[in-house]
Amino acid sequence: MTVFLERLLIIPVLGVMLAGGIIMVASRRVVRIGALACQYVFVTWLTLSFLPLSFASIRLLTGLITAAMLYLSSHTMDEQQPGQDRVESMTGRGFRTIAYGVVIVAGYGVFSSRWFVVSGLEDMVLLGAIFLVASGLLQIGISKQTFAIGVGLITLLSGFELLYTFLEPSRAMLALQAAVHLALALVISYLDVLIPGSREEGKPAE
Amino acid sequence: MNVPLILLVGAIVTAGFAFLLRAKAHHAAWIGAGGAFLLGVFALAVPLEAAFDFAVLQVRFNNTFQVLGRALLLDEPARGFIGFLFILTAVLLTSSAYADANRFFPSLVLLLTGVCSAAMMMKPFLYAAILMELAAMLAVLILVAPEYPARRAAMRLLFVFSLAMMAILLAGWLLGVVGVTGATPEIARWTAALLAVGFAVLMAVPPFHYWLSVAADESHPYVVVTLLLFMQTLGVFFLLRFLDTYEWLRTQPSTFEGIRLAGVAMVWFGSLMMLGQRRMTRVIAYAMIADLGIILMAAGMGDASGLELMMQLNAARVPGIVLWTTSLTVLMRIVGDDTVEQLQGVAHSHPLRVTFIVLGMAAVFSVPFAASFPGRWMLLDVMAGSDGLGVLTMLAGWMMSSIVLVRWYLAMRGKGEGGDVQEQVREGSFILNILQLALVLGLGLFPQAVLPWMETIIDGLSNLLPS
Repeated sequence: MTVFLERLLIIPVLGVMLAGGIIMVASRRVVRIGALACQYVFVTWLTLSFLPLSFASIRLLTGLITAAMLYLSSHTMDEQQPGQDRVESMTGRGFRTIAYGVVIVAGYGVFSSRWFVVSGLEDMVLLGAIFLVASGLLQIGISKQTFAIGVGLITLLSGFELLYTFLEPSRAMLALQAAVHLALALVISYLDVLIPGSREEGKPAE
Repeated sequence: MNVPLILLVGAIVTAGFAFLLRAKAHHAAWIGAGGAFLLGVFALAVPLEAAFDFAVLQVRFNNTFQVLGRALLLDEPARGFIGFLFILTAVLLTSSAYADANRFFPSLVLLLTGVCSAAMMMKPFLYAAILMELAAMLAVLILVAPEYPARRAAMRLLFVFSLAMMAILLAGWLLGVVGVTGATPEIARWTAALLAVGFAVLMAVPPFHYWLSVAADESHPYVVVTLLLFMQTLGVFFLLRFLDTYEWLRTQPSTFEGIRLAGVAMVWFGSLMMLGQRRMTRVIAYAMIADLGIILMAAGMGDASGLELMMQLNAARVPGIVLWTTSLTVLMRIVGDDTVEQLQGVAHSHPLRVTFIVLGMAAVFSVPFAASFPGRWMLLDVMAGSDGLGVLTMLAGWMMSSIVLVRWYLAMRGKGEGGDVQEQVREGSFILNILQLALVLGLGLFPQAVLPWMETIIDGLSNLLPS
């Protein structure tokens, strides 16, 4: 099963790319959170190429809990102020789509130039990690709302950790990385739900 | 008995008590401060790996705690740093209730101290980077409160700390797996660059301070200052630890030169930025950047005397910063804000508060008789013959900070709205300010009584300070 999944590594790379695009473009929170959960699945798939299933599943489990925490906080906000499940953005959807396309092309350029090579690591894993880092940086750069920046940060960390877990594949490192994702989701939820004015941030001035 | 475990559990239990008492701010602050002080003294004084009789029991304090196959090791350098960190926490918590920091402040700061202590004890060290990221998340919870929704500052802080974590993890991997020596200059350069990014974030070295200006505008001044002081102290300790551990790093001439130049840049940047600020919290923040610049200049000398001066200055800055910030927050509660317009003329209605603020500023700016003056004077004396740029920087920093001091004093003495607000005396904060002032003057007038003790904290750095 694992060997079979390893042969199809192009699928999670495309999945990561697509999930990143949805996170970038979608305006509903629930859609972004769904895409984030899918992104965790694809990252786990890529991780399987160098880690046993028992280790890789820690990442999947953590990711799904992270997504669930974000969903619950969004749901709580929606109950408090119904009909506001939208991520306000500084830029239009068209701009974000083009920006994402440019970043993906740039990421592929970095990959194909072999500027950054890790010996022993599958090319597809490296490509997936580059896409995640690039997509995360773009999300952080063009977002103003806590939720959107937080998801960008999670994406950025996922990309970095994909590489780093290959370099340092220890249980302790995986556990600490899992703790970082859960704590980050907790902080985003805290800022979103308990701190007043979250809804207004990022909206254009009237 | 396991000392790292006692320190961590002690911090968590004290934080728990402070949390339960959160409705009574003074109780929470004093319990937290008392607990932190005891843990600090325990860390400094406990006999490690030695058995002794206690009543009918034979007690032995182990210095290692194993978790998930990794070790938390309280060795001699870590013991000094952790002791200092807990005592710093105690000092900061003592004033927190009077400064009206949020009600979770004592418990969260204690947890932060616990996480930072764990980071300093972590072996191998690269895992400490992830603990620092977790510490940044705790810092966000301290920084943001419903009455201070500093979300922008929080997200910026998280972002820069994530960058620092990645940089230090990669550097740790290069050090541990690839192996860096004097014979691998290319890898050594990359590693040094990655470490520089990590330390720059920790110490809020420009441009990685960009969360700070927003935090100064959006968050509570005492909270901002506490976090900055904490991070800068942690950055200084990690820097010393790295220099002590890695020979290739401390034997590269460019390392100490880089530290010195970073210090010079910080003094110029912080001092120039201070001149144009209209909020006093921002002035404090930039003053702390400039102050850390002086500390780095001392470290940049690269010898034992420089490092001892660095430790002296690092400790001596604390009472002045706390005095300035506490008295400012007490005044802000009365007048409403810390802008120059709002503070215009407040000296007429609140002469004592303004006196404390001015004395706190003077202490941070190192006027004669203040705590950090002897250290700075010694540094100037040492640099006088050999480092023209350093001398020029220190003198320019002194001059610019004097201008800032006079400007704010004149503003508070002038005529304005602040003069009409009624004074509300709080005896507790007044007594606290007097004690802080006494500490500032005591350290300034009798530096030989306390400051040499600060130097013993770094005695454990046996490679950096060969006996």
